[in-house]
Amino acid sequence: MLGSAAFTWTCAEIERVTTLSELVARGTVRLALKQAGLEPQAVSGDQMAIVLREILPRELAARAVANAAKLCSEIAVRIRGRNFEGGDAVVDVFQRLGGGK
Amino acid sequence: MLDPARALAALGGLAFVLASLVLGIRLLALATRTRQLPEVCIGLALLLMGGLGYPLIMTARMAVRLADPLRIGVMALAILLMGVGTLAVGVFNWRVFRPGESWARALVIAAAVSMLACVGLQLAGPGLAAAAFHNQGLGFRLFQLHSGLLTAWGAYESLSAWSRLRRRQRLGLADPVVSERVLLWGIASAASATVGATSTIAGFLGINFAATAFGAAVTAPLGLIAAGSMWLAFLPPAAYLRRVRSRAVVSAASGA
Repeated sequence: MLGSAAFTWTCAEIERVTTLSELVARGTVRLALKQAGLEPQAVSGDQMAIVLREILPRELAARAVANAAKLCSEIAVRIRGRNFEGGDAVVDVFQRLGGGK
Repeated sequence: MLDPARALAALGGLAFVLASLVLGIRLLALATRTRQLPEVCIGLALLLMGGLGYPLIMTARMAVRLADPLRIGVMALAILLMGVGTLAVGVFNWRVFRPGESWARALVIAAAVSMLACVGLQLAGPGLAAAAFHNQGLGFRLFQLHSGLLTAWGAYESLSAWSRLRRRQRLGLADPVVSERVLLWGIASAASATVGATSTIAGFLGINFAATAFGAAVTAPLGLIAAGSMWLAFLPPAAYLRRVRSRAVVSAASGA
């Protein structure tokens, strides 16, 4: 299944600013999203920014990426300005099923 | 006089029917405002299966003073309602949890065809009278199995989704009330699927589930659990919502 715009953009950024290959970059982001309970095909830019701050620095450091926290923080700032939308049918539907509560 | 075990089972069953009726109507009313398919599906599933189909099947089986053709007619109506309700569960699962998956759509279509085949098998064999009067017939039993299986699928999907939402909640990426609602729907689905599956398996073994102490021991607690979970999910008291939110705050503060 294809990733969302936020997922694709983040993987490309990580590949650009580190020495990780495309495959490893995508795998690392996928692992981070799984830890956060998010899915590559549905993650939004705002959600990815939090994953970049909270989880990805640890994952990149584990793959010997230098300055992982700084790199992730910079990517997080940039992704915020891009307004990548996500979508999660489960959340949307169960939000509505509460009738506004 | 009703023995305590059967009285408890009746209480569990009644709670389930009432909760399904009230919440089914409420969710269908919500669907008229939102005009979204998931609300229609879940409203229809609750109303047609738990609210109407289940009590109609019990009526056809137990109302021995009714004329035979009327009991058969009640059973036919119950099967129709259960079939549409079961399909609504399948469509809900597909559109909410697996919207892009062709296998999920194929599964729902296969379930519809299979249920029609089961009704055909029952009509060609012992007929609706056997189902209504004696709870018998392979076609009828296999038909009933569909609602248990599709509800169990919904339980699995809901509990998996809740597991993901719980992880998101730790990062502040999920509303604790929505997470709780998904969990409660998963619990309600698991409880009703367990009752349905146990009843169907007992039927295959020639046991009249509703008339046994074992049946009562399964139906009473699970009926109450399903009813309570659905109620808290879709019509939660304000105090319960406050408790869910404050528990989430405490949990976030402790880093759990």
